[in-house]
Amino acid sequence: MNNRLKVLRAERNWSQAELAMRLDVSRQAVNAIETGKHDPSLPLAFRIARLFALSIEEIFDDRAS
Amino acid sequence: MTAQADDGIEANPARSRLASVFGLVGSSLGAIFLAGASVGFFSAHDPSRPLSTAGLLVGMGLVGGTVLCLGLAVRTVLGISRSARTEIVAPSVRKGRTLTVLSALLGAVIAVIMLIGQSQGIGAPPLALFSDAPLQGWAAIALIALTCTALPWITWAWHRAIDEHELDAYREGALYGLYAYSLLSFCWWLGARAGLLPSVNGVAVFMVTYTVWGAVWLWKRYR
Repeated sequence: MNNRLKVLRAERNWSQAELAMRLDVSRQAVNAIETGKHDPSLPLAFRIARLFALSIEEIFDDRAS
Repeated sequence: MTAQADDGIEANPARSRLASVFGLVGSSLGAIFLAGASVGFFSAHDPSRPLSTAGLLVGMGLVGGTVLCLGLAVRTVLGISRSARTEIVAPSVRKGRTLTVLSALLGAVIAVIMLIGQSQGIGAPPLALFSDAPLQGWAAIALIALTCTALPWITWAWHRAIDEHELDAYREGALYGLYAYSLLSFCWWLGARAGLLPSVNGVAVFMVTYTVWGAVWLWKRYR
C-alpha cells in the first residue's frame, strides 16, 4: 500500500525514531510502513491519522501507483 | 532531531545491534564450549605426569580462547547498553527489549544448569549440551521448574509489549517453523522406518524448528 508517511514525517522534521515514539511502536515498524513492507492495522492507521490531523485516506492509498 | 535521509531508510542502528546480538550469542556460546573443553582437557590429564609442550599449548589455547570469548561478550554487552541508553524509543519498545534481555539471561542460566547437571559433569564434550546424554535429577527438575514458571511469564509480558510489526514477524516465523517441523519430522520418520536414516532425534528437530522460526522472525523484522 502506498503512503505519504515519509513526506509527512519530513515536513515535521521528525526522525523515524521520533515518529515511532509518538506512535508507541518500534523504529523498525515505522521504517516497514514507510517502505511498504508492512501495512498498518486499522487501530495504528487511526493513530497515525490523528497524529498528523489527517484522514486515513489522505495518508494511505490502496490503489497501485 | 531531524529526518536523516531521503531514501526512506535511515542509517539502521537496529541492524548493527542485531549484528551485536549475533556476536554476543556467538562469543557466549564460544566461552561456554571452550570453558567446558578446558575443564575436560585438564581433568583428563594425569597429574602425576608433566604436561607435554604440545599439551601445554593446547591447554593455553583453550583457556586463552575462553578468556577472549568472555572479553568479547562483555565488550558487546557494554556497547549495546551504551547505544540503548542514547536511543529514542517508545516505552513499550523499551519494555520489550528489557524482556528480551531477561529471556536471554534465562537462556544462559538454563545452559549453565545443563552444563553442570550433565551426568558426565562440566568436563563433558561441549556438544553433549545438545545431546540425549543423561542429566542429573536435580538439574532436570530445576530446568523444568524454570521453563514452566519464568518462561511463560516473560513470554506473556513480551507479547503485551511488542508492536504489530514485530508480532507479524514472530507469527510468520512460527508458521515457517511449523512447516520446517512437519517436513523434517515426517520425512525423517519415514526414512527411519525404511532403515535409510537413524531414528528421529527430537533435539535435532527442535533445533531446526527454532532456527527456522528465529531466522524468519529476524529477517522479517530487520530486512
